[in-house]
Amino acid sequence: MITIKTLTRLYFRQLFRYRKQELFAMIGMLIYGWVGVLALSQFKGRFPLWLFFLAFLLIDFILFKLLSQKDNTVMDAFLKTRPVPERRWLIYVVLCQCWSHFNLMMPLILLPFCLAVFPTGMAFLVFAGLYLVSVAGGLLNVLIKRSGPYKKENVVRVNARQSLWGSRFGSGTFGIQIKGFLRSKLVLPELVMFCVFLYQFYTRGRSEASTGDIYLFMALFSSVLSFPQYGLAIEACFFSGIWTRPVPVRQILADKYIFSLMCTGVMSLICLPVVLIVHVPVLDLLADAVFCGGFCTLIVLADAFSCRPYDPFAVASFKSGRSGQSAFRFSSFVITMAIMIVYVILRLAAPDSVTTGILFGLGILAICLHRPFFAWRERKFLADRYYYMQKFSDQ
Amino acid sequence: MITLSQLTKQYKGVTVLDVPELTLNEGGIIGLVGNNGAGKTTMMSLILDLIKATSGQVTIDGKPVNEDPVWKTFTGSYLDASFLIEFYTPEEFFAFVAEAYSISREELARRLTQYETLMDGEILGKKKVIHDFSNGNRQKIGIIAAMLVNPRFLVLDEPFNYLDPSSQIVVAKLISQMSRELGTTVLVSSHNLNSISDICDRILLLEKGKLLMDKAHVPGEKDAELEAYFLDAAGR
Repeated sequence: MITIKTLTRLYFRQLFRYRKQELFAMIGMLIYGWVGVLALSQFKGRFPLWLFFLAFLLIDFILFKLLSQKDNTVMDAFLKTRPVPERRWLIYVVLCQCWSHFNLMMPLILLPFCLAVFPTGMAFLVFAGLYLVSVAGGLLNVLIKRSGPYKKENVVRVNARQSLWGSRFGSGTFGIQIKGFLRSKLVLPELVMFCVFLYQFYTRGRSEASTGDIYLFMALFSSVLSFPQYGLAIEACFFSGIWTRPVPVRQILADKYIFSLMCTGVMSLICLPVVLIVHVPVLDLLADAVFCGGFCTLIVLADAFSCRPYDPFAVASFKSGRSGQSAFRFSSFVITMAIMIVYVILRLAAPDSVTTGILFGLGILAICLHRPFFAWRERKFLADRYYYMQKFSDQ
Repeated sequence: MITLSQLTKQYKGVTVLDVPELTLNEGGIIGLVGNNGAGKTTMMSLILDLIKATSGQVTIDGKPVNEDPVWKTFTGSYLDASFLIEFYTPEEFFAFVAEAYSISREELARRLTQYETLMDGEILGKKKVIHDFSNGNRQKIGIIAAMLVNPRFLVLDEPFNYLDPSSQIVVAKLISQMSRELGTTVLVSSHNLNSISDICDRILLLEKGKLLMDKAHVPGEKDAELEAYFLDAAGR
């Protein structure tokens, strides 16, 4: 009989064995939070508590719980065939919310902010409150995921079983990019991230152009975060079928690049009205778009082969990707963080005209050189292909 | 012509395939049999350049498969489900394969009519992605995708798995027809001795990576030597 103790041990084993990147990312955010306390010390004693909880609830529940939390609520096939009573499983799922790193991390990240803006005793009380709110959000997430309609389709019908989005876009390697994106679970996080950053740009851009521009960049960069950073993760699921057919690898990379440019272009058009409203120069939008779509995508795709297969049909925490691993790669996280840091430094330290010129130049240079760049990457891949293909099939 | 020369494959010091010399001539259906772990899939993976040989090489028309990818333009293959794009519908998947081999839409539609018996109305027009089909229908999709390119060289790893008896007969007939009409060289592995005996004119027997038997065979006749080998293996 599988006990709660066994289930718990399985949970932590798969967490520390297959999802280490999540822990590293959260530790990084934790450090960022503790460093950021210095900036907020001026608000001590003057911060509205209700706003704190509201902001936390929205960010934590939408970004962390709904979109990112992979903790399973429904038994996967492995467990269903074992003697695990449904009641025991439910107790385990509820208990998981108490020790889930997803529920603990946001309160921990905000603890230094609490210490900065509230009196000490109050800060720890707020921390405890945030933790309880986070656990409650986790339980609400469990309820939502266990409800019948949610199991059948996600909010915007991106479940591959129900949706045939992208049917018109052809079936070649370019079709793989569009349909792999539309029919996987990548659409919703992309849409939400874009909307969140666009809203931040709208609210911050009116008061401070340079920091507003950063949020504009993040809105456009969200498409690079959502899709190209996965590299060949989708193709890795069927790479044998691609390799044994006359399909050049550089063509796949080039199609990904063009698709990313298209996504960035569409998002730029959506951002244009907001840019005009907040009176940020349109040239800044153009520079950011060219930089994101042209340069950032190229840099992220340079690391395209060191990926794990992304299973668009995976649902369970014991199997969030193939072999229970997340497709998210630590190396791509480092690359994307580096790009964001460089952009922020440019915006804050250099004159606007210089920054715009640099962003434009890098973007256009990348667009001009993307084909020879991918041909070079293909040669590197061919030299080490057995290693990569073994990785794809092992995971 | 496909040639395997001094081909070996080792995993962590264990030799899983050791073929000193093997030539597969143009045309004909070659059956590859052996118990589990004999090295059948490994041999096929090496031929298709999916894994790296420890030593030796595979050449097709004199060109090493790991150096010159021209063999991909006339080779069709299906080893397992990792060949399928599961978030594509069968129509999209066939169109993807057709585009890769520069087959026009009209030609694709014409070729797919040859597989209507195998599809049996269960594959096309269902408005669902490959992932949502049964194992048997997914197997059919993979086999059809390999065959519809009218390859000169066809590699199928256990194509009769998951198929009902009628479909197994249909697949066997399609393989025979392709070899007879197009001169395709077919390399097919199976645990189903009857299917292999019915269609193959040459049988290769692998055991623990070594080629124990390489003999001509008359399609449709039972092979007593082969049956004796497996009976003996079962008794060991």
